[in-house]
Amino acid sequence: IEIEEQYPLSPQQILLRDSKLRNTEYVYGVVIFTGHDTKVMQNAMKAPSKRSKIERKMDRIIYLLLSALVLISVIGSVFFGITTRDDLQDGRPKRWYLRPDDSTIYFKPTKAAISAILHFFTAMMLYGNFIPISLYISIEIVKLLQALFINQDIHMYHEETDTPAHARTSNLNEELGQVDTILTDKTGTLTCNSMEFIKCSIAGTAYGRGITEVERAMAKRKGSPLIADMASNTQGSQAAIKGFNFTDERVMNGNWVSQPHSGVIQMFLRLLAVCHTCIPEVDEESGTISYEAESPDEAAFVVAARELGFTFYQRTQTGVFLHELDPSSGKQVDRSYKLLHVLEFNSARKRMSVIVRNEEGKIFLFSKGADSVMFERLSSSDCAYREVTQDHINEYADAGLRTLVLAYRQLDEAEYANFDRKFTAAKNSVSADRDEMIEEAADLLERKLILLGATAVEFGHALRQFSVRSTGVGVSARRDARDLHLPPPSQSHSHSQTTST
Amino acid sequence: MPPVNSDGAGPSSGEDGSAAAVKKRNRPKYHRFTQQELQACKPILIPQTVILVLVFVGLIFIPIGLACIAASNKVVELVDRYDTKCVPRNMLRNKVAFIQNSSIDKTCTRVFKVPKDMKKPIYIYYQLDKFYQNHRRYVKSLNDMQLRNPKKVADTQYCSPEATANGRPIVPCGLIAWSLFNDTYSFTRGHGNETLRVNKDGISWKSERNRRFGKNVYPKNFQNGTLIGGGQLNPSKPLSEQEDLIVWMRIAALPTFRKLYGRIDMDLQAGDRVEVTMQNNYNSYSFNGKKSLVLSTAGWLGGKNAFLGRAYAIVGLACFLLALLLALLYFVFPMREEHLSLHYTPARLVR
Repeated sequence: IEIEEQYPLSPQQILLRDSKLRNTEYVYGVVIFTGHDTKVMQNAMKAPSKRSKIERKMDRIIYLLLSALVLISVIGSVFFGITTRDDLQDGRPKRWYLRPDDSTIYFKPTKAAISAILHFFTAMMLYGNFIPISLYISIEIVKLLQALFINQDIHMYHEETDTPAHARTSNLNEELGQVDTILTDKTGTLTCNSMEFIKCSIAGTAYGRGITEVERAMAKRKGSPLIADMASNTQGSQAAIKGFNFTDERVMNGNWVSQPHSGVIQMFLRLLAVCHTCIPEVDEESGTISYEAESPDEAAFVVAARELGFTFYQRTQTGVFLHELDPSSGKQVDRSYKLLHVLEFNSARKRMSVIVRNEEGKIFLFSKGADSVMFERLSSSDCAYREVTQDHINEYADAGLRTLVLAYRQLDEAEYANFDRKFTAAKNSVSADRDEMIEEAADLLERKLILLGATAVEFGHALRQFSVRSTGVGVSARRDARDLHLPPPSQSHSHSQTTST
Repeated sequence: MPPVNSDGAGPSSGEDGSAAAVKKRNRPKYHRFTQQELQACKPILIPQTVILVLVFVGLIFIPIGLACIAASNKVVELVDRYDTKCVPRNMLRNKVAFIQNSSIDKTCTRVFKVPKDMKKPIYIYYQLDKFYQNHRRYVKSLNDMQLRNPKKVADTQYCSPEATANGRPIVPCGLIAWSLFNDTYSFTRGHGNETLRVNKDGISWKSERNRRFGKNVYPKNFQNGTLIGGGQLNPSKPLSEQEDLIVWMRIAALPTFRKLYGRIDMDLQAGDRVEVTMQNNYNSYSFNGKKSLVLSTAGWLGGKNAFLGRAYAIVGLACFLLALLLALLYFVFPMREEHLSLHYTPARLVR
């Protein structure tokens, strides 16, 4: 009997709007959740026309002038009617030079009311110059020139991304600079969305001689200029690589081969190069590889592995391809790993794992995650550098760095086959507790891990680039409750409001 | 412990930083105009500067005002209203009947006493009150092409109801020409023994004689209708030489106006007795208007008009008073140091 293979359908397979499809040769199309009742259709509405304060003020002025025009015309017409009626008294003209006895409807004394009404329209046309319609044209020209100045502004040019200011429409030029308060829920949000690999701990040995911003600030406060000067000298010597601020001669340029724990270091770097969901992009002209990642720290890890000899250069649906530095021969060797399963990171699990099969047929589980969940999953037999690594992690946290613990395990065929059956069955189920079944199956496997080390990543702090004094913008941030292990506060600390257009 | 991954982080590029240093194609070029760094004058108004400017304006304006008032005071002006006094006593209650009865003699004699010496030229004006030459029907009732071009005699398009008479076009047509002012004045000095000749040459604008009224356009069929509104015209003289008509057809903007009648090219001494013999022909009684005769000399600013001088003097005086007020306020409430420094309080970083 031929068993039909089943594929799980999960939110990963849903292509939302503006999604990009990569590494896929063909797809089966399934249409689900369409129509006007969906959230995306209900949110689709016509964008409101934006009008600036100057235009609204101009509208009010013109309405005022129009009212004055109508008032003047009405009063003038009333007096015109009265005097026109008085021009003929008992058949004898008063203002004889106007010939009221021989008159058209516009000036007829016997029908003064009609003459007054017609005079109203005449007055409206004669006094129409009160309304400055050309003012709109003048304002539009001024805004156009202002937009050209905005596009040419050097102070609004971003050096890093080579992006100048671009005013796409000149409607809201004068609304620039209206932000006076930025509200955030935690300080971590105010970053540049970039992270730098700066330190790591492998097999109980700390690597990385960089100085973090927090350490530099504390050194300045204590009054020891030696550390600050050393950091500035070191940074100036080498070319800056985005996401990589690591300096240690013991492991760079292939020197990790001669370290005492070179096997652990090799596995550490291999884990960094394999355990991620990045997609490489090779530049056609220069041949350099850049990485598209879901989070900036994943990109920092892959860049660090590349700089230390493990270059991740290709990904397919089922495989990951590296250039590895072979310790025995000292050369770059091409290696591929068959990607069997990916256990994704989420806020509950706080860890991410991949299950791969190397070219020799061995199956490995590579895992990285927070130390609070990773240390309890380590194998109890291997305790050589566990406490030293914990000390390193505490030091990194004090220096303002974010840390991850790296561990791995080798699986045998029977164990993997059992996991594969359970995991696939959980994924294919459509019951309400599907997520719990998936997590339970993954939890059985992420046990008895072998500790490799920890990584330390520094945020690129955007607050440093804010010049709060010159811009006058206030920043109000509520500290994250989880950072302090405190219950969430009953009231919000933010009282100011943000003006927005 | 901080969270492992930042929430909502988008795709992050791990590109080499050295490659970005090469391409700066999008950087705007520096130019002082595009960066809005040109030199500019930004005056800061401090009390000393403002007080000095106000005093300076006052020092300039008050002498100008006084000079204008003095020039106006030098002008000698005699005004005589005659519309009521020239009606016979038995017809004071029915002035319209008097003016419309052509069989009654309209001659009237008025006497001027010259209070001060009047240097030549002495201008003769007639003044009308409550005559609305600015009425829209009156203003539109003429045809400029007809006044200028002898081939356009039949162009009476806007001239109704005075466009044709007895089926033939009127030249000049329209209500303005039809209501031409027709009072006349003659002057003698002493007790009838010396006639003062009235010079009527050049009382109209030269541009109107040359361009607006044609040299080959002659009055035709004028005042031939059932109603006669004003004066007659000499059919043998072209319109460009009928200066009374040209003066009358320069429309006044306000209901009270003066128009030039002629000039006397002789000096009048203080104490002279000038006798005016006038023909009171024009009807100002229907609309309860007034008629006056004006004799006036002219200064370097024109006729007798003190408005400009008073305006200058009042503005100068106001500037002086404002400067004095500012000086008093400055001494009573002296400025402190922080009022003069330009700095902004930075917003506090709330955490």
